[in-house]
Amino acid sequence: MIKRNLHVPIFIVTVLIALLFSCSTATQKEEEKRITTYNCSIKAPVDQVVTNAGIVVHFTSFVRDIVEQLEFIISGTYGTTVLPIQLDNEQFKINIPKEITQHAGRINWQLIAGGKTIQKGDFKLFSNTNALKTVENYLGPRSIIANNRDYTMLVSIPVDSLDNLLPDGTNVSMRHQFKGVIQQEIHRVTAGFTWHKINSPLITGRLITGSTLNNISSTELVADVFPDIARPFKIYEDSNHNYADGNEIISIKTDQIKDPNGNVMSDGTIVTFFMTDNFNQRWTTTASTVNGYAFAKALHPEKPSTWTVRGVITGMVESPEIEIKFQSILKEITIQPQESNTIIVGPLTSYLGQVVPDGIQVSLKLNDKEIILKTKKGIVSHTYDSKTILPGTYELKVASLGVTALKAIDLK
Amino acid sequence: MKKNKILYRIFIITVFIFLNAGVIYGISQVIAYLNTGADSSKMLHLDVARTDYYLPDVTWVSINNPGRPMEAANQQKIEQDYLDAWYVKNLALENNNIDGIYDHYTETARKKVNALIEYNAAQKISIQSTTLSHHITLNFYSTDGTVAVLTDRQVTGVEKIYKDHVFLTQREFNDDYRIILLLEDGFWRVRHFEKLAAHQNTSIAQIAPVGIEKMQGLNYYPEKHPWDTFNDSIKKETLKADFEIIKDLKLNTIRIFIGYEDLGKAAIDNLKLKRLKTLLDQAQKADLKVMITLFDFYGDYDMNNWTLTNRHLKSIVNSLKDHPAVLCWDIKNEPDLDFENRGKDRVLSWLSQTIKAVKQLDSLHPVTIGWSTHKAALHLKEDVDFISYHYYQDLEDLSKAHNSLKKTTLKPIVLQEIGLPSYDGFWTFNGNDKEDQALFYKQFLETQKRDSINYLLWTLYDFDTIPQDVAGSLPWRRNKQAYFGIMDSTGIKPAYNVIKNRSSRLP
Repeated sequence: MIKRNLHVPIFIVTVLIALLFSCSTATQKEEEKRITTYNCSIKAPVDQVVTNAGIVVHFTSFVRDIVEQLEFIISGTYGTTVLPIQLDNEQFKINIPKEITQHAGRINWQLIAGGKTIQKGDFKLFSNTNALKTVENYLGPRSIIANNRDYTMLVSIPVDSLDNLLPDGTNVSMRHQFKGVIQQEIHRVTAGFTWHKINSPLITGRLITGSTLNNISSTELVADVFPDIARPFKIYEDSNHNYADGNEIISIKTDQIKDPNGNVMSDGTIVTFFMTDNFNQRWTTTASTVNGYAFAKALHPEKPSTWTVRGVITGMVESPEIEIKFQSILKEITIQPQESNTIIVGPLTSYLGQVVPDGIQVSLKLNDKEIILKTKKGIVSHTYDSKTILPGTYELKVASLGVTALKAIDLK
Repeated sequence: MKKNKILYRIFIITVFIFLNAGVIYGISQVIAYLNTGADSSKMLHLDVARTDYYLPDVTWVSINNPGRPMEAANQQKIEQDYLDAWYVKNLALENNNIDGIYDHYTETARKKVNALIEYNAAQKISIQSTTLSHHITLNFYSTDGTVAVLTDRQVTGVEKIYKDHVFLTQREFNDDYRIILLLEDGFWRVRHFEKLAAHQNTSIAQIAPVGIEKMQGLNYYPEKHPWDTFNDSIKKETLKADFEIIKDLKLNTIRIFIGYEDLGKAAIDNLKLKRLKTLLDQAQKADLKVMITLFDFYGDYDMNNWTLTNRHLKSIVNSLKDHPAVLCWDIKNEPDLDFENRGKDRVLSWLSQTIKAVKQLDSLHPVTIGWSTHKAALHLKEDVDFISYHYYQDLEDLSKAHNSLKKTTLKPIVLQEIGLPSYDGFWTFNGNDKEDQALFYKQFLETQKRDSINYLLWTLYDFDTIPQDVAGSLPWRRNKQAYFGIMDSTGIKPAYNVIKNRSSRLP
C-alpha cells in the first residue's frame, strides 16, 4: 500500500514534467512554422496561354535556410510532378517545365515544407488560338447509300500548335464536294469538337470532305455513295437455236439493273439464276453484274425440255420468270442390220441432216440392263458377249436425245 | 557379407530407377515447355477473362447525345477502356514505366503521358494514385461509333507523392475532365484529356455516436465455427439460442466480423450476405445491437486495390445500413499489427479513405477502428466517431490506460476486446484456470464500473479449432486462443455467473 501511495505523486510529477516539456517544444515548433509560413511565398502564376518554353515562378519572399526544405508540387491534366527550387542570380525560382505548360487545362500547385502546405493555388492554361496546327477530321460511315435516309457524319477537332483543344465558340468551316458542287457550313466548336451531318446524295459517286479554320485545314476524307436497293429487273435468253443438242450454250441475261433513283447497281452485284425443267430438276448458276448487266451461261439439254428461269439478287429483288423450250434434234434412230453379236446404231442425224456432235449419249437397254454409249461421228456400236448373255432373241431398246426405238435382235 | 551384397544391389537398383525416373521427368518437362507457346486464338484477346482490378464508383450521368444512341454493350466497353486508361496511367506514374500506355492512348496523347513520366523518372519522382469515383456524361458519340466525347465530373481520388523514395505528401483531388476517345484497333483510346476544373474536397461531417455509451457486450463467433460466422451449417436456431444467452447475461451489444475474402471481395457473395442479414434479424429479435467489423483478414492496403475494397464496402454498407440492429461500423480489426509488414503510412491512408467511403454511404451510423492497444488507438482519432481499443495487458493498469486515452479526446471510448483464457495446460508454466478467469472478470468489472468503461468481452465460447490465420501455427498461441470463452462445451464457466451477476448490469 505504501508503495502504491508513493506511485501516485511520482506519476503526477512525471506527467507534469512531461507536459511542460512537450508544451515548450510544441510552441517552438509552431513558431518555426509561422516563420516559414510568413517568410516564403511565391508569386502565384496567373491564367495564361500554353507555352512550350515553360513558366518561371519567382519568390516574393524567402528565407534561404528554409528554401531547401521546400517542395513545389504541381498537378496538370496528365498527372502530378514535383519541381525543384532553383537558384539563379541570387534569386530563387521555380521553373515549370514544358511537360506541364504545354497542355491546356486547370493546373493546381502547392508549396510544401515538411509535409505542411505553405501556399497553394491554381491557374488555367488556355489553348493558343493564335498558333493553330490542324483540324483533325473524322468521317464515318465511309460508305453510304444513295437515298433519303442515309447520311455520313463529319467530326472536326481543331487543335492548336501544342495539340490542345480549342475553346467553345471557335468557328470551323466544314465543306463537302459532290459531283463538282461544293457546300459549306460554319459550325461552332463545343466541348472541343464540332460535327456536321451530311445527307446522302441521290446519285452514286464519291463525296469529298474537308474542314478549315483560319489558315489551317484538315486532310481530305472521302465517303463512297453506293446505289440503293435494286428495282425489279427482267431477264432474257439468248441462244443460236433452241434445239436440245446437249452442245450449244445458252446465255441468260438481265437488263440493266438500277436502284429507284436510276443508279446502276455496283459492279460485282451477284445475280443468282434459279432454273427448273419440266422433269422437275433444279439447278442454279450465278453471275456478277458489270455496268448493271449480268450474264449467265448454261448448256442446252440433250432431250427436249422446258426450262423455267428466275433471276434473284439475294435479299433485294427478283425478276419475273421466263420459259425456254428446247426441241429434239433427232427425228428417228436408225439401227443398222445386225452382224453377229455387234449392234451398230446410227449414223444419228440432226435437224439439218448433219451428223450429231460427238459425245451424244445413247442408251441400249436389254433385259433391263442399260448400257450408255457416246457417239463418235454419229455412230455407237456395242458387241454383246455370249458368255454373259444366253443366246436367243431379245428386244433391244435404243434411246437418245429423247427419241426411242425398239428392235428385236438375235444373239448367238 | 551376402546380406551386404543384397543390400548393395537393392541400393544400386533403387538409385538407378530413381535416376531414370528423374531423367525422364526432366525430358518430359523440357518437351512440355517447348510445346507451350502463343496460341493463335489469343491474338484477338477473346479468351482473356476480365478480372476485378480497378473498380472506382462510376455513375453515368447522361448518355443522351446528338450523334447516335449509345448501346449498352458499347457503353460498357467505353467505360472499361476509359477506366483502364486511368489505371495504366496510375501504374505508369507510380512505377515510371510506360507499359500499357500504348493500348489506351493514341499516338499523340501517348507522347504527352510519356513525356511526363520521363520527366518524373529523371527527377526520381513517383506518384501513387487512384481515382475513387467518376460521374460521366456522354457529350457525343459519332454515327459510325468511333468517336466519343465524355465529360467526367467530380473525379475524386487520392495521390501520394514520393521523391527519391521518400514520402512527401498526400493529396486528395476532385477534378472535372473532358475526354475525347477514338476507337482504334478495338480499343477506345484517349485522344484528348483536359482538366476543366478542380474542386475543393468535400469534408465529411462527424457523426454523433448514439448508443455507444453504456455499451456492454461481447465479441461473437458461433461455437462450432469461430472466424467463420457465415458458414452454411449455422442455422437460425443456433444464432437465436446464442443471442438468448447473451441477453440472459444482460448485455446489449455484440461485435461480429466480416471477412473481406469470405464475403467475396469486390464481388459480394449474396448467399453469405443473406446469412449476415439473418444474423442481424436474430439480433434484432433478441434486442441486441451489432457492431460490424469490416475487412477482417484483409491485409494488402495497396492503393491500387482501394477501388476494390470500396466496391466491397459499398455493397455491404448499402445492403445493411437500414437494418435496425446495426449499431456502428468498425473498419478493421487491429490494423496496427500490420504497421510493421505493410508500412504504417500505407495502412493509415487506407483506413482514412475507407472511413470517408463509409461516411459517404451511410451518414447515420458511427465509425470506429478496433486498435489492438490503447496506445495505437490515438491514430486517426480525428477521423473516427468513437475510439476503440483492445486490452490484453495487466488488468491493474487498465484504469490508467483507459484514463490516459480519455484525456486525449472528447469522443466516446470503447474497450472493444478484453478477456482471459482459462488455459492451464502443457504449454503454459503457470496458466490460468477457470477460477482465475472468474476472478479476472470480477476485478475487471469493478474497474469498469468505477471508470464507466464501455466494453465488449472476448468471448462467449471456447473453441475447438482455431484457424491458422488467426493465431499462427504455434501450439501455445493456438491453445490459448481456444479458451477465452465464458462457456465451454460442458456448459458455463464460473466467469459466466460473475458477469451475469455484476452490479453494473443493465436493467
